[in-house]
Amino acid sequence: MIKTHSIALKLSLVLSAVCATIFLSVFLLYFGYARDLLLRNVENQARELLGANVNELNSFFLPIKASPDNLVYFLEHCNLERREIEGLLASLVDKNQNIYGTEIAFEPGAMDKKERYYGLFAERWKGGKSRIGSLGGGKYNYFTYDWYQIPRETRSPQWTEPYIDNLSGRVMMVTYSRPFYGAGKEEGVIKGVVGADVSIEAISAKIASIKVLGTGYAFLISQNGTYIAHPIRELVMNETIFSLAETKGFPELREIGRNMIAGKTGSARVFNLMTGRPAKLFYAPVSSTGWSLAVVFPEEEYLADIHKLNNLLGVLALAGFILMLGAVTLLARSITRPLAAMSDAAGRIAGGNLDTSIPPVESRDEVGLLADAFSHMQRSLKDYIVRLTSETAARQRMESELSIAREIQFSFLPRKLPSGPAFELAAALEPAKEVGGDLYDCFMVDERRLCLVIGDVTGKGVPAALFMSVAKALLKNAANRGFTPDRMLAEVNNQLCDGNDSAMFVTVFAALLDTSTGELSYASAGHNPPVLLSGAKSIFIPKLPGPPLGIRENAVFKLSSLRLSGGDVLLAYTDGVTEAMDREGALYSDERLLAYVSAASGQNVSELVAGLMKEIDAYSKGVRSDDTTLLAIKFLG
Amino acid sequence: MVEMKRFFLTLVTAFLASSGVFGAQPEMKKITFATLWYPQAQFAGYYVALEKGFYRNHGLDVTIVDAGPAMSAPDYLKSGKADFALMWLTQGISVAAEGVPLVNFGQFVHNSGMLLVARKASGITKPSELEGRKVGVWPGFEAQPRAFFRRHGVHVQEVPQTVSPNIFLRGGVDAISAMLYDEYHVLLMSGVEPDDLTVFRFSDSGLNFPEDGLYALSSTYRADPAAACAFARASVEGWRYVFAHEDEALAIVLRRRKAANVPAPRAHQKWMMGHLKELLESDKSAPGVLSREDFDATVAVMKETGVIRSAPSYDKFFSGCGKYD
Repeated sequence: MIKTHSIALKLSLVLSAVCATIFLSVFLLYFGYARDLLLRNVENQARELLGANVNELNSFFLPIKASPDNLVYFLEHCNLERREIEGLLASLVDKNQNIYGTEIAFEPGAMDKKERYYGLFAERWKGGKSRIGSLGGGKYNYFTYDWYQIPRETRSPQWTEPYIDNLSGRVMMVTYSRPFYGAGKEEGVIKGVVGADVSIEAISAKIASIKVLGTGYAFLISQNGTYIAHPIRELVMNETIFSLAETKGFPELREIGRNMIAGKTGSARVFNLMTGRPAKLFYAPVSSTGWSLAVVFPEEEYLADIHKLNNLLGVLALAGFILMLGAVTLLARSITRPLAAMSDAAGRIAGGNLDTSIPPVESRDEVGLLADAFSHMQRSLKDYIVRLTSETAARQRMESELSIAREIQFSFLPRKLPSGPAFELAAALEPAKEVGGDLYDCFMVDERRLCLVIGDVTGKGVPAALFMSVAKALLKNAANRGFTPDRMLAEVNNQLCDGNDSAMFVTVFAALLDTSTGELSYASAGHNPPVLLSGAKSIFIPKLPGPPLGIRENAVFKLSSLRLSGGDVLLAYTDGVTEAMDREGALYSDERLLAYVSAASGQNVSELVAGLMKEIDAYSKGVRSDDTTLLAIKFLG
Repeated sequence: MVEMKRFFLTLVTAFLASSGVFGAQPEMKKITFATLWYPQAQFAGYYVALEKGFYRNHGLDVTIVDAGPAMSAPDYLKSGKADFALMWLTQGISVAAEGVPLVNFGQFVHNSGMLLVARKASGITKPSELEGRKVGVWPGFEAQPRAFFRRHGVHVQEVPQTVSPNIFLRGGVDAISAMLYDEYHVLLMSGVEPDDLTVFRFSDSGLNFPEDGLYALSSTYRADPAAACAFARASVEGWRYVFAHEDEALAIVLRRRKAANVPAPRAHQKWMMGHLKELLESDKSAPGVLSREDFDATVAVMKETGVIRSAPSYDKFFSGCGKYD
């Protein structure tokens, strides 16, 4: 398909494909690299953010932990009265704004031997001041509460899961609590548990203040994976990261949760719960509580820069692409416009308009060279045509000359051969392409005698034809004056030699036949001796000396004679017969002539002449280099 | 005259109103019903029967109260603070054994969903390895665990177990009691993998005791047995509605949990509801009926483990309400 389209289109397509490939490769490489860079950057940012906030949280929780720790010291080392304990509990609430409440609960009988429950608490009350109360009893069996039971059973400090304490203002909170022991004899025996409460609200406020880009957020989970702080309030206390993983059908989140509650630091690709879009989660443990803090970086935000850059690059690439296409199209046009013009001109030249102007090309590139070559070709073609035209005219002129010559030649041949009871006559002349100067003539000189003439003029064309006609007229004239053949030849020779500037000459065989006796007297001016067919035997009659007519003035010709018997045939011919050539250049030859004539005994002379002419034609395959003339007479007796 | 007429009119009106001829509401019987624990899907059928008006349709004006660590279902019943209570069979037998005459008028859960769970990491993979360990046991639900320990010849240190399995998660005990539909799933939802746990099902140790059933003090029951059976029927209607409309039922349960200030994780309550459906529908005897064999087997184990000394008679203990349709 591409073959049928223009160079401009092909160039554009190929270049666009190549450029697009290059650009895409470069872009992908760049994108991958930039993305990695941004991710590393985000990771560093996240690590810093986590580090700073974990420190912040630790410095928030450590003083809270210190309060029960200090109380335990007093409880284990001093014999405190109820009022003193109440004072201490209240002062802890008053001094640390982050503590919502404090409590002490004793093992059965540990404070008052009669009491199963003995507990005291202080909590933040209206106006920020603390108030004191007692806890324990049928409505508040503190032994069943995590904040009491877990430190008691594990004999170690604990942070509870978030819960709502039914005792106080029904505030959602977590409690840090630790056991304390007896002294002296009772060393190592648990006497009760001391705790400090922190409201979830206070923790949430701290977590909510962590800014993660624009729409990112932070959240905090407990040792059980329970949400302690999350922008979705509904999750807090109600859901764990594991139950969320189950509800959302997101098992990867469970794995993340397990790593988080195992106190690991790490990151994972998750979904932003607020937007449902991909995000990167980073987490780190909060050592003071055993919890885990996580920050969620929305992907679309931290990749915003790269996306912006991508868009910019995309626009640039598109613009570049269009620019390139334009440039390629212009360039291709600058090449194809002269080409198209040249192809147009070539069409017109082919149509015959050689004067079509070749469009000018100024550039010296391949197109320029092509234009030069093209105009050179045009000039050569023009010259050639001019030459061809003149040559054609010359040939036409020549051809018309030849036809004139042929007309002259034929007009001088006898229109009708003489006839008589004692003889049969037949003649034929086949001119060569470029008319030669053969001639023959037969006429009655008087009532008894028949004159036979055959000749061959040297040269071709009109001059030869004219020379032939002159020679023929002179010979006839000489014969009519009653000359013998030798005198005929001598007379005409002298006449022809006189003023023969063209140096043309003619061979002639002339004979006189006495039709009553068969006496044949003859003379030859350089002409081939005729064939005599007598019975079935053919021979050349003896050759007589004598030059062709028109060469030497006063030349002498010899007369000879022979007697024809009834049925004898004399065949005179020009050298067009014996010198006829086949394709290989072999001559027809005297031998072939004799053989043919011998074989033709019994035929009448018309058949002989026509048959021999056909034979010569066949031998030379129709290509005649010279006139071919046959003249035959049969003496009937 | 006019005065007389007015007097008669008043009289007739009062009579008609009291007899309900005018289509006025018949007097609703007030009932307080105590469940076993904090609001959860285990009691969905009762909450739904209340909210959808099934109790009301049966002429009952029901109030549901939650039992908890401070006050158990038997406490509610014994103290008269509840007319009816949902209790396990072992609880019912214990109360009867204490000499408080009471009646089971509907046994709904015939199989035990109770487990004992330990961490494999603590070296407990078979019952004998519980020897000397701290094991969480729910006060009032000691019968099955104690029978289990006895059958496997181990001596454990019982720790009273409370609301959450946190004491187990924080290492305060080596094993805890757990319901398949509750604490077990809470453990999973706290990041524990099923593979980390060794689970002993009491039903696998021949201790497949019936659980949730409806109870009333004998005196309460005898005073109005029709009300008890109406309550049982309406409750069955409630359960049927729950399993036909699980999302709506779940929403009702979560609402009650929030009102009670306890965490309301939907995933967990959904899990519980699914398992309750299994327990309620894999009824090995007629729905609502406590079989004599189950009763006798449970009493035998309770005596054997010393939870009770004397047992009530089956005929006095169980009084069914017939078939539910």
